Amino acid sequence: MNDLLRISDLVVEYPVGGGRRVHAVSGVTLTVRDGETLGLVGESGSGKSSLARALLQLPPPQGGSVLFDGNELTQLRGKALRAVRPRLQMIFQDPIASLNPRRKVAEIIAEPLIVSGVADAAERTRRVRSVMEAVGLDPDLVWNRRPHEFSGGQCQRIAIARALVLEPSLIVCDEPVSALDVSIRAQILNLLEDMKARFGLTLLFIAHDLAVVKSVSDRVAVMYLGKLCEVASSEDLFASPAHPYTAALMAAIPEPDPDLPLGDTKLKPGDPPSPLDPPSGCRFRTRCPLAEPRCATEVPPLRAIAPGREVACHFPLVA
Amino acid sequence: MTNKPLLSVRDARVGFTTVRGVVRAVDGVSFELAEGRTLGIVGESGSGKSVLVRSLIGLVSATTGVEVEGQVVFEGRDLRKLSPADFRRVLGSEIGIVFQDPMTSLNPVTKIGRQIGEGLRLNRGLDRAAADRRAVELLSEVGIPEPERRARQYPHELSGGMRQRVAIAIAIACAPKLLIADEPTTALDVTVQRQILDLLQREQRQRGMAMILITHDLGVAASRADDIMVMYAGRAVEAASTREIFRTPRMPYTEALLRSLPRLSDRTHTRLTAIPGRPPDLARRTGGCAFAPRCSYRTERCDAEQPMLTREGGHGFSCFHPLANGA
Amino acid sequence: MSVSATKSTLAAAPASRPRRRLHWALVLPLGWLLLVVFLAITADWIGLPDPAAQELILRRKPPSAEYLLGTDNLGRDMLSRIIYGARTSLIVGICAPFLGFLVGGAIGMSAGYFRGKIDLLAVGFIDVLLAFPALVLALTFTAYLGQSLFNVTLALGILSIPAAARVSRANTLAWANRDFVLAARTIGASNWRILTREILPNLLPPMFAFWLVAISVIIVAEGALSFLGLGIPAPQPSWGGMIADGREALDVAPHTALIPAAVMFATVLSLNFVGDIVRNMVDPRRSAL
Repeated sequence: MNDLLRISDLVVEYPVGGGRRVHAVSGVTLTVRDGETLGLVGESGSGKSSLARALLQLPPPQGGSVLFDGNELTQLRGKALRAVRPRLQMIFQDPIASLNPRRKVAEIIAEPLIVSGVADAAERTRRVRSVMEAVGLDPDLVWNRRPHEFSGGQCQRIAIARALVLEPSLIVCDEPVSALDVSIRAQILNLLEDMKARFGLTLLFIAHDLAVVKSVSDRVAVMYLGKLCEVASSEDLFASPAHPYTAALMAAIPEPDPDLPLGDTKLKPGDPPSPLDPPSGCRFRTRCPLAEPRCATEVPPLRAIAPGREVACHFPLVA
Repeated sequence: MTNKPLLSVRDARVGFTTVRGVVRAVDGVSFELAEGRTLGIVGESGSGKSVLVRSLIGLVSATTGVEVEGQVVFEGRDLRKLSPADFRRVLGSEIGIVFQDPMTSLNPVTKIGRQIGEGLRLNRGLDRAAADRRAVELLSEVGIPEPERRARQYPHELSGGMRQRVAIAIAIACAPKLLIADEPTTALDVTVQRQILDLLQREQRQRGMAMILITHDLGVAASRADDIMVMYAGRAVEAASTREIFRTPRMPYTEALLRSLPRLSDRTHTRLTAIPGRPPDLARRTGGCAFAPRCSYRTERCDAEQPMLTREGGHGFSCFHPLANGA
Repeated sequence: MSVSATKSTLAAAPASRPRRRLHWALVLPLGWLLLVVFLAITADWIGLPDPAAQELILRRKPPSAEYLLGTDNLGRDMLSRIIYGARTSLIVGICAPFLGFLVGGAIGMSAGYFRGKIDLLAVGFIDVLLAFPALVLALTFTAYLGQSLFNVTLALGILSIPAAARVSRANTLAWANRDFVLAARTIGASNWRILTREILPNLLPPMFAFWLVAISVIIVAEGALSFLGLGIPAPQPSWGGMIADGREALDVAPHTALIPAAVMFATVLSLNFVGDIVRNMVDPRRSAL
């Protein structure tokens, strides 16, 4: 498989006043292969959403490169960047906030077509209807309604239709089901899987819920405080996590089964450090059960420990 | 449950009058909670789980457009018949509450130590110095490092997990018999969530408190609750021991919900069993079972008639077509 | 509504719009405003006496069958002057804030959307304009450019720029951070398109509500200018001018000042009432409840 997206040494930092800077993403290198779903896992402050927005150049990152299908996005400006945008779309966590409350559903879904110059109104109508049907919305029922008349799950369908109407190559899904009701999540996850197959999409799927990520992802990348901990195939990662943080994350999650004993996270007590002042060396060392003096002085590079498996740890759990 | 119940709720109802009609947020819910037990109340947003519990403790009061009905007996006293002063005393010293968002449940302009000590001074008659000392002890008990220094800080100086620990310290300060935790970890990260739930469970066991744990996360409920009540559209649709709920659900909604969840034990790209449709609009409820439009076992009777919560052994469910028991 | 929701996931939520009850608090002020606007428009055709025609023998007459609202210091028909005055006051009241909202709204939108240097510049400009004593600015303006309906409107319009800019900047800031604006960027929409198609429609309703309130402020401000002798020049009637004229005879003929004052009061109050109600109605999420 070819790489559709190649992110190298991406850096996202922003000032928060008082001369302090948030180190949201600190040198992340990651590839997304054509046609796969890459899951990106991390807690709040891990920089996963900053990474997603930076790769879409919203706004452009402070450093690094984003190579998308032969285009170096960080070098593009203005019109040239806007010309590539339709091929990279995004679905947001809060579906209601991602739709303009003043516009009708049909207008919202047709907007990308207008912006990219589909001048023929009949052609637009045809494509909007077809994409509505694809995501399970009845065009005749939703056409002239406004977003606030719909539930969260329905709004997410509208947002997915908007992202699909330009037939993009890559869709970044930023926590697409975490704001939805539990009984709705499976519908939207199934829809994303169907759309991926039908339109030949590549997905970057960001979430904090490991079970959701495992369900949809071919490969998974784990982020902690602005750096990647581990990248591996979904099956490998969940069968035997190599980074102590991945292991802790898996142990922390309560499975919906009272007979499964709770795992031991082995974490040192305390809260995650602030991205304003990340620890030296390995950023996870302040909570890591395996931390040694070396971890404070030497940043562990992301290195391959097996084919298709990379980990950034001096003492990986899988050799 | 063999003990005499600590808390017994009979036919609780809460209705809100809106421009679109009366919303029956809680529609006739009854349950009992024995001393030292944990009851998990599980439901989606709009299921009424939070409104139910808030109405019990007077946080949803009967004002214009709001109707609150039902009987709430706590340690033999009907809370809804108490005078406001007595009610406050019970609430202050015998029931502790932890909310979802510690940022809004803590007072931003009062030092943490003072906030913890306030209940002790009001309800236990401690003087300021004694309350401050006790506050530091409580902070250390809930796992906050350097408690003396933290006691002098304001809520915004702490992280989300720390704030929730402070909120727990406030809730347990007066050694309540009942702890109500309303989505206590929803705003937190999974690793922090784990620590907070461990803390809640440890405190509960040490102190022999009963706990009501409200959550939308079935994993949280499975790992922490003794018994579970599942709510849907303002009603209790199933109530049983945690094990029975997860092993042999009788109500189709519970079963469908459990089957729709992605699990770590499933292989990647396993097709999920989604529940069609969406939760009903409470302002336009018709007769009949609220889950019927989404249910695969639906018959004509389900649309016409509201199923009551029936019990078989210790297992309650409101369904005309319950799933086979342990088959 | 009898839309059934049984088309499972495919059906749209059959949410009905709540019927808005017409409340007296809306009907009364709205009725008054409609009456004032209607009379101001039709003043030429409803057989009113010339508002400038003087009848010095009949000065300061109290209301009677012939002169429904009496006559003023120069024996002019008060009713006619009130109605023609409404025309003046409304032209100033509607146009001045409109001008201010056009300019201020654009400044506020650019500031709130682009942030950075543009924002600093705009906020600086607004602060300077606010720091300048309003009355002095209006005085200088009318003193140098001369008193005319146009100049008074222009002066009051400039004075309303800062308020409009602040309201529009605050609203733009709130909307520009919403995900749907980000979504518009991901489809490659230009800044101009995002400003006009995504943000502006959300900005207009609160701006409209604020504009209604601004009209009332400007009507009062025009009165204040007239009081200082810098309002609309005679003989063109305006409510402010009438109050100023009537002030001299307050002891012998109180109606000459009190009637225009009462009309102004009722109009301003009505505008504020309607403005409040409109502000509550324009929130789409509120009506979604």
